[in-house]
Amino acid sequence: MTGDELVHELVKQRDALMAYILSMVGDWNAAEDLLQETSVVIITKAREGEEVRHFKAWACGVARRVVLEWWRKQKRSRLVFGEEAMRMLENAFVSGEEDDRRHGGLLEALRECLKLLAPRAKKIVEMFYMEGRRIKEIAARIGGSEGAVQVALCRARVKLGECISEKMKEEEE
Amino acid sequence: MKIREEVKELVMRYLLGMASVEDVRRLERILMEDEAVAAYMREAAMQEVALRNALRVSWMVRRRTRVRLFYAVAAVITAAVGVFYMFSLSWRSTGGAVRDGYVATSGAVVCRVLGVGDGSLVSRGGRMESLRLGSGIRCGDTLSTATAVLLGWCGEETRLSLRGGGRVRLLLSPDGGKRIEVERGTLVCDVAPQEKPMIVSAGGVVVKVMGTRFSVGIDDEGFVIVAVAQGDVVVTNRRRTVRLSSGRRCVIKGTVMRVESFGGALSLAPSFRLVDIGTVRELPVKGYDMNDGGDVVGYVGKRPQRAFLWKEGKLMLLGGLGRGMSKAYAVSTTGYVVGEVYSGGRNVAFLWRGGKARLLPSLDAKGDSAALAVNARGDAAGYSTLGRSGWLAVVWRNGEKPQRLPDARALVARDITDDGRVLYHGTKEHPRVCVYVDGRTVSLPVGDCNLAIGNAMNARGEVVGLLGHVGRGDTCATVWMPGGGMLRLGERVDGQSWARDVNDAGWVVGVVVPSGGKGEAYPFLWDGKVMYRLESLVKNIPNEVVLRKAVAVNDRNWILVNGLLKGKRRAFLLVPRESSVGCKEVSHET
Repeated sequence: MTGDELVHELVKQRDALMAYILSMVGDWNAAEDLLQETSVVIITKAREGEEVRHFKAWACGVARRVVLEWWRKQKRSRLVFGEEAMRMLENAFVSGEEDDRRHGGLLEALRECLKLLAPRAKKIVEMFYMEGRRIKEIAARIGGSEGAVQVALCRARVKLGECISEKMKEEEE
Repeated sequence: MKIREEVKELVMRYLLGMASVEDVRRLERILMEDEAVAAYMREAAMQEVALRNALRVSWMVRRRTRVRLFYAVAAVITAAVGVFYMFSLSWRSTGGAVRDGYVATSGAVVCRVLGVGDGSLVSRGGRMESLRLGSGIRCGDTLSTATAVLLGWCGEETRLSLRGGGRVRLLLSPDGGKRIEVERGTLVCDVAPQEKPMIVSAGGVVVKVMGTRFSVGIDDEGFVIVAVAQGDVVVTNRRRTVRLSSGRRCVIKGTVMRVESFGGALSLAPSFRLVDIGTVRELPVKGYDMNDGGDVVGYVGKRPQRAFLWKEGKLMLLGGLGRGMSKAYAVSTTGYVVGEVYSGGRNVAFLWRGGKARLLPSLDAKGDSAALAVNARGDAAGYSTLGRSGWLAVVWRNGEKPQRLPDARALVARDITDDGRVLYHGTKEHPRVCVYVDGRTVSLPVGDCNLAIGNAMNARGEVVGLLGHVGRGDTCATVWMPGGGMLRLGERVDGQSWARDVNDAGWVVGVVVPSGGKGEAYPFLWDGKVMYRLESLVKNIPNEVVLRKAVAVNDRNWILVNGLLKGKRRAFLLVPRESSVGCKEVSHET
């Protein structure tokens, strides 16, 4: 794979790489930073003429090393999995099928699935994802404890995920 | 795969950043025991990314509508306030009543990329793009680079240079003041005088500046280093505020601040001054080549053009070439000049030195020829026609009969080095860029391009030129490395590009023609790491000067650029600011 192909592949696989990093660190903001760092490493290696046969496997390896380096610099203060668990996740990502779902179809499915949520759960999801509010703020706005909001958000998110998966499958069929 | 609800919630808690230490450990255990959980986690994480992207887009659309509504209301209120001020408070200054820069906080372009190196990215609204020369940087963007990036603040002379491994975020405060957050690495700033203090922050340290040259860096251990090269800045950490003057720097970690002397200078990027090589009788001038001594050759005038040599600050027409058309294309370090001259009803290659010119023999007594390059020994390279065969690449050694290259498809020999290597290229039917050395030919990769031209070669064996497809408008400045690698410099710009020359340090110069009629051609410099818009490296270019095409760079890093002076074609030298040259610098008074 040439340098240019590597960069094209990086753009194509950006979301998968982001998902992999997110699954390793469990923190969206940190994952965004680490994705940027991983991309810089990949582009630099592409320019240096690194030989790559399987981009996804190679890029996941680069991302894992970037995350481990970040973890070392954080003096292991953040929560993160051990290397073995990271490799399990890496296998899942590398062997997983390509997911070419795009925002357009997803947005449609999301709109429909949001209607199925209870009003309170829908409000929490909107405030968390769309307005970018923290759990503490959401709890203060809609009333209730932070724990209760967390639980409600997680359950709503699981339901939303399942509903979207079903809708997308129906669309594919 | 059947995953328990409780595990699904645990995965979700983790992905949403709400997991406790126990949660993470538990999830790790489950993950190790059950492969299906890893697959579920992949699915959930992929969905989370897609969801956040989709919802962000949806939210941005909604917010934009709200922002438009807000501006409409704000415009009405502002108009009302304006009327109120005009009629009732006319004695008071209304300056600052309307917060300037407010619009910019919603993502207006604040900077332009004037120099870009490999591995330079911009992160904008969760999406990431490679930086390109001339790209606009918006308020709120985060930049990172593996090599270097040079930015110019829109509408002023402020320059920011982010060093390799650095990451910064650019913001505008609601009152229009500039704010830059250094998240990692070093940012060197050359700040033009400001109305409002510009703020640069790093690791809890805030630097206020009104106009000066300084750097702010944060290292891997969390030490913040502020160094001032010119003027002074105010540095504040959690405990103290100090005014740091030129030649001083402070090292800060937490509440500890140490101020010390700073001996080094801060350099953002190469810096040049502009030298006009002048003209004769106000005729237009076009430069073609420059040697390591700074001598320039080219031609002046139109019909007939006359070959010139610019030496030690003086421009003189080459003697011994008659009064007809003559053009000088190359000059060697030993003073040999080559080109073509109209003689006996045809164009003929010539070799000139020390006031004496001689015509070089052609392959065909009736055919045309031109010498395009010359080395220190006086060996020349170029082309000569033979019957109806069109141009054929040739080399003249010791001014004797031209020798054809062994490759029958060699169209033009473009360069010849002091050790005798010859660079040539082929036709569009037989595209090739080759180096002929010691009796063998080395072909450089051209892919599927049918437009492949090598323009110059340095002592290290690096070749520069262009690759593209005839009629597609995709010409791309290219560097071929001696090891077989290839660098497509043109991918760093929007538009077509050509590389014209390379010096022994690996500096490459050429021209970019923006795509879609977005502006005029401009010259570029690649210094081996970063690609710059050349004019951004020259301070205080007078308004009447326009720089268009960089055509040569010598081993002293002087650059020859063709452009316009008061609308007339002119050649300029860009001389590194620390070098001296025996002629006047172009100033605002010119």
